Amino acid sequence: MKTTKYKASKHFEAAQIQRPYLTLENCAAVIDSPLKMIQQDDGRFVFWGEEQGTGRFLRVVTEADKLEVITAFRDRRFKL
Amino acid sequence: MRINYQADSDMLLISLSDIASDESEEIAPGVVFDFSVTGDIVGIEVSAASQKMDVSRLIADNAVERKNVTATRSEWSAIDAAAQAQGMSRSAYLVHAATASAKQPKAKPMSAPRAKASPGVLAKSISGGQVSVRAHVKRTGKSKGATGSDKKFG
Repeated sequence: MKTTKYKASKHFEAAQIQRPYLTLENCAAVIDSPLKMIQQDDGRFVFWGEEQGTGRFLRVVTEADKLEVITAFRDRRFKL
Repeated sequence: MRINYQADSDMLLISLSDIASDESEEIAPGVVFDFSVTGDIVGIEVSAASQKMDVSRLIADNAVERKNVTATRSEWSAIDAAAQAQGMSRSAYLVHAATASAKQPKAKPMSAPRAKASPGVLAKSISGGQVSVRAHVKRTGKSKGATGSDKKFG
C-alpha cells in the first residue's frame, strides 16, 4: 500500500491523540477506494470508506489537493 | 480539558477527557462530537472554526501557552496601570498584547501604553509564530496590584 504521497496536517496529528485508531495508512485506504466522496464548498474533499478489519466507516477530510489529510474519524452515522 | 486550534487549517479540537474516542458523529455542520466506548462525550471538533466563533483569543492563548508570566511587584503594577489605561483586566491586557505581537512579522519589543514604568514582562520575541513572555524575577507572595482576574499562564 502506497501512503507516502499523503501528508498529515498538524490538526490530524493532534486528532490522532484523541482518536488512536487513526493512522495515515487507514485514511489512505479510504481515499484510494472510497465508498462515497463529495467536495465541500470550501474546496476540501470528504471521503467515506470502510475501516479495514473493523466493519466501521471512516470519514476522511482532505485539502483540495486530495493529499493532505485534515481530519478523519469513525463516522457512526454513515450508512451504505 | 485541552484546546488545540490550528490556524492553517482553521480546525479546533477540544479534548474533554483523556479517554480515547471510539467513534464520532457530526451533530451540526462542521461540529463533530467524539464518543468513548461507553458513550461519553470525550471531545469536540469544529471545522472552519473562525466562521463559527471568535478565534483571536485562542490564537493568543496558544501563543502564550505553557509560558510562565512572572514579574516583580513593581512590574505587575506597571502592567496593571497599562491595563487600566486601556480599560482592560490584567489577563485581557496580556492576551491583547500577545495577539498584537503575534500579528507582527518580526520581533518587536512592546511597550505598555501610558504606563509610568516600562514592564519588562511584556518584552517579547517571536519565532515561528510562538510568543515567549520574559520576566526578570519570579513573582512571590501576594501583590497589592493583584486582582481576581489574574490569569495563570503555564
